[in-house]
Amino acid sequence: MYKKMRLAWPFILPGLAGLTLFYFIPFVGGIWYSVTDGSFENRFVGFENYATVWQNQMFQLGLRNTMELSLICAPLLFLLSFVLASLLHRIRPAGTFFRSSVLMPYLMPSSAVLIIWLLWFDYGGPVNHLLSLLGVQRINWLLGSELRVPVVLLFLWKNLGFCVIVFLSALQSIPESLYEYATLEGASFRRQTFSITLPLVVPSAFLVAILSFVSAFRIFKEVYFIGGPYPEEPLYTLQNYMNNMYGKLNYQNVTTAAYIFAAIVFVLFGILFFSQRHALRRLNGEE
Amino acid sequence: MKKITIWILIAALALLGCAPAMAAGNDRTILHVKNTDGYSGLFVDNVFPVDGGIYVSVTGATRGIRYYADGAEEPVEYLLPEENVEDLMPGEDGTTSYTETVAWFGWKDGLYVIQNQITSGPESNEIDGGYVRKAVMQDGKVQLEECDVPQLDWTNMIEDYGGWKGSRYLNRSIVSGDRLIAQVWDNNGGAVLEIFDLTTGFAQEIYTEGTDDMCAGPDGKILTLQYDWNEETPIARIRMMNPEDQSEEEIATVQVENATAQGLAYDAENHRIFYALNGEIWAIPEDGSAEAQSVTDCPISGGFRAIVLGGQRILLWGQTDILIRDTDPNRDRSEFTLNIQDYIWGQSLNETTFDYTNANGNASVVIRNGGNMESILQDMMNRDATNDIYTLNYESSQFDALRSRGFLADLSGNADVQAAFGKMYPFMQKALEQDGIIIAVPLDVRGNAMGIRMDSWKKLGGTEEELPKTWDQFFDWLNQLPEKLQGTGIPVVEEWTTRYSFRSTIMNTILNQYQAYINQAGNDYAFNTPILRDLLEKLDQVDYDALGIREDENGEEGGMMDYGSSGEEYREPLLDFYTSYTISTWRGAANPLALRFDESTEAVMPVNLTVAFVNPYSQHAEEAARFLAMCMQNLRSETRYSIFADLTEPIRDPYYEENQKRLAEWLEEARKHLEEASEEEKSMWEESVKMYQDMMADNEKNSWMISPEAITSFQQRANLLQPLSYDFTSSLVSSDGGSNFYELWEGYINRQVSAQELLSAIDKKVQMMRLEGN
Repeated sequence: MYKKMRLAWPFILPGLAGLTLFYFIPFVGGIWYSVTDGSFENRFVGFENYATVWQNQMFQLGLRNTMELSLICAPLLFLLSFVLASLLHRIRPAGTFFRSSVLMPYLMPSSAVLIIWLLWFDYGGPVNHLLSLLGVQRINWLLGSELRVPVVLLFLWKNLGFCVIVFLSALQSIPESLYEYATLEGASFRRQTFSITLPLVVPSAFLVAILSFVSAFRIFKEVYFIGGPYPEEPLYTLQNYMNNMYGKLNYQNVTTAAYIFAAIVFVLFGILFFSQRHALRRLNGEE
Repeated sequence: MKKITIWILIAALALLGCAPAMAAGNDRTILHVKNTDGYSGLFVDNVFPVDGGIYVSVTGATRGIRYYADGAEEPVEYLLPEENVEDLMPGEDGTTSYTETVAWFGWKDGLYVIQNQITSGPESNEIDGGYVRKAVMQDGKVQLEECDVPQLDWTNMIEDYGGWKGSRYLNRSIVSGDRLIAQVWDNNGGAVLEIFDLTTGFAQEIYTEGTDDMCAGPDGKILTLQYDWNEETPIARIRMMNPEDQSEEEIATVQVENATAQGLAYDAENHRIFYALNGEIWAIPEDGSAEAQSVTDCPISGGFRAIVLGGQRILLWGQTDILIRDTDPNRDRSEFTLNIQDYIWGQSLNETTFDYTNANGNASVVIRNGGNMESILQDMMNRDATNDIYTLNYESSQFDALRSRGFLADLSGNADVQAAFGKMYPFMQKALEQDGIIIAVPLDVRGNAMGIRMDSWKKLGGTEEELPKTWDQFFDWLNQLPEKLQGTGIPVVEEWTTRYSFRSTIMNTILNQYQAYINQAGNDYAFNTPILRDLLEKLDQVDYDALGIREDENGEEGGMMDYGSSGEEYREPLLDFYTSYTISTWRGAANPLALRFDESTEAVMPVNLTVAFVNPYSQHAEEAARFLAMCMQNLRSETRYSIFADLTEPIRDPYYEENQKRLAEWLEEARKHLEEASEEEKSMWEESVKMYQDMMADNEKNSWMISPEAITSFQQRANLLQPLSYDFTSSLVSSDGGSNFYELWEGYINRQVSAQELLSAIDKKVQMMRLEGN
């Protein structure tokens, strides 16, 4: 095994070097920025920056909006992608076309898509036209908290494809024979789902959950294109805060905000990880 | 033997001591005309190096030629002949014949001039051009005499305008061997190189894409410099052209970015090409085979030219300066160089360079103009010591960030800076001091807004007490104006002002002043307030028809009216939108209107300030502070008087004495004529005498660069001035989301968006920016 490990090093070293140079070192190096004041004297200030950033109203607003959007977008994405993957899993003969087309939004550039989205959700656009046909009053989608709706929809539309593919591969990797045996044994659809499908899909589900949250945390590009560095309050995310601080070269605040957020994400993913383990045990009947 | 040895040792030591001076001895300022206030009385027209010295043609108060022999400190001056007015009078046949000077050039050891003989009739003219005369300097005068140079073939230089002919002018002329080469523009805007053979008179024409600078190159070739603005980063291309076959070879490209490359010159001795960029002279091999190397500093600002003299010296000349610089890369250059990154084209820096280097022979100064000021904070965080001095606008976010993080060196240790600071007006001291230390020096201060012409107001029967004191009162006063102005012929504003421009100017003035108002301690930093909303609503209700302000035409914002061709007479308006808050040399008649936002507070007059400061990481901080102290002495008079409270002596217009003397002569002449005049002519001469007397009185009263009234008026309002600090609104407009904001702004001016919507949008963004912090 030791010999095999030695053979493996040349293959993993370049990737590891890149990871070290562009992730680990900056991550550790950024800690220095977060504990100094960035002035001419560059004094060590301990956790003062953390306290200042944590108490900053705009940071709090950004964090709150980021968590809210994530808690809306990620579960929706998770559920929709699972449902769509299940449907695609059933449409086998014609499924190739749908499987390919579901990835298309993921590949399209955001700026181009956004222009179309803005036209659709314009006050006089097709969406409002449809609403008025249904007897509903027109909504100014591009102002205030209503702007969240097109942003969430755009997020879902864009990211659905990738998550569907992950779920679909998980579903397709379940041997058909298991379902056949279960049917022969008289298991209902519900029983098959909970005893066969879900336990085998949970690892992929965990991955999709992580991806969903990560993608949701990164909602920024579209908001920036619409509203600039200071968009409507309901859409001001942590990314806006960090981007603006970076623009002002306030590296102290950028790194501090990033580490605070990293800690929150770490806790969140820890919760997801333990949830996954617990769910697997339950589904496998270990508890 | 011992004595000889001692003497040799002494001589060697003496030589060693002189070496730096001798090594630096080739750097010389031949002419520098101080031009702080835009008036110097003397301008360098052109410089012609010849064997043994240089000829300089000067204009301004006197027109003449100065000859500086090699090594001479002072020139010998020769006056150019005055134009004989009688030569321009038509003869009996109605034609006029005169000589027109086209260009001067230096060749071998002499100075020459090219002249055209022009015969002008009532309906046409003829030009017989290209005559070369030699300038002979004798008894303090320049005389033009015939010489051996044949008449140049001037055929290509004549332009025919259907009966009337004109001669093209030679631009950027250079002499290469026995040829005179110049750039000429044809009628279609095309650039042509005209090459005249001075031994035969033969002319050759070469069409080019136009050159931005050129010089004589090796073996009769021509070196040209051309900007290429189409590239992502602007560049200048240096090319070598062979006039024999008109082939061109690119030698080098120079990244210019925001700077100007000029002063192209060729060193035949050492096979090098020189050009100036960013305050330095750079050298490249004539085949472009190596990177450019900086060889010396170049303190001249503005446009200038260069030519290489013998002994690795380069001659540089601009409008007010002629310098020689040593280009030997192996010599001992100055002990240190002060590097100045001038982002805002600061006043007085170039002038100070001369004073500073004259006072400190061991120093040189390099000024880089323009550039991307976004990088300054990054430079500070990287502890970059490249630049010793920076200049910035006081209200820029970059200056605000540097100030809040302490990246401005303390200048209090310099006695001259400290002394100058003590003499400044309080508003200036407050801006330049932080935590008890002086952080910057001012380079310019200006601000303008609305003013009222008191003469016109008094003609309307108005008094100073009746003038509005607050913005609220201003709009009420504005509404009452139509009644007061009726039948007087006095317009409210300039007659070309449209409703759009009136509205946007008032809006901008209010917002600027409001920003300064809320920056004061104790005021809430918010825009969506009752004060501002009420004012903008009043602005919405202005009756433009009653005030006679014209409508916008086809979305135009208004422009100058052509009074001449329309036959209309210009009428001075009551209000002036561009009245200066600070002391101005421009003799406008309006007084600034100091309007408050409420009765209980003082008016605030925002001004824009540009400053210079020392890099805290500079390795020559003391020298940099000394330089900045000198800068303040070289500011324009109007700026100095707006900064320093101890300056109270008015300054006469530089032309005052000259004009007064001339008027006195004419008056004396007119009085003599009056004494000798016949009865019929007496009234005419009496009128002339009165006219000259009035002109002298007017000259006495108004010929001020800084008038006593301007000083008094400024002193009364100095405590109301406030330098604008970091401007959230302009930052908002210039930020990446600025197009949205600008649409809203325009929408309000065009009445598509209400005041409430606009202020609410501004407030939201501004509050977000403030809460984020800097």
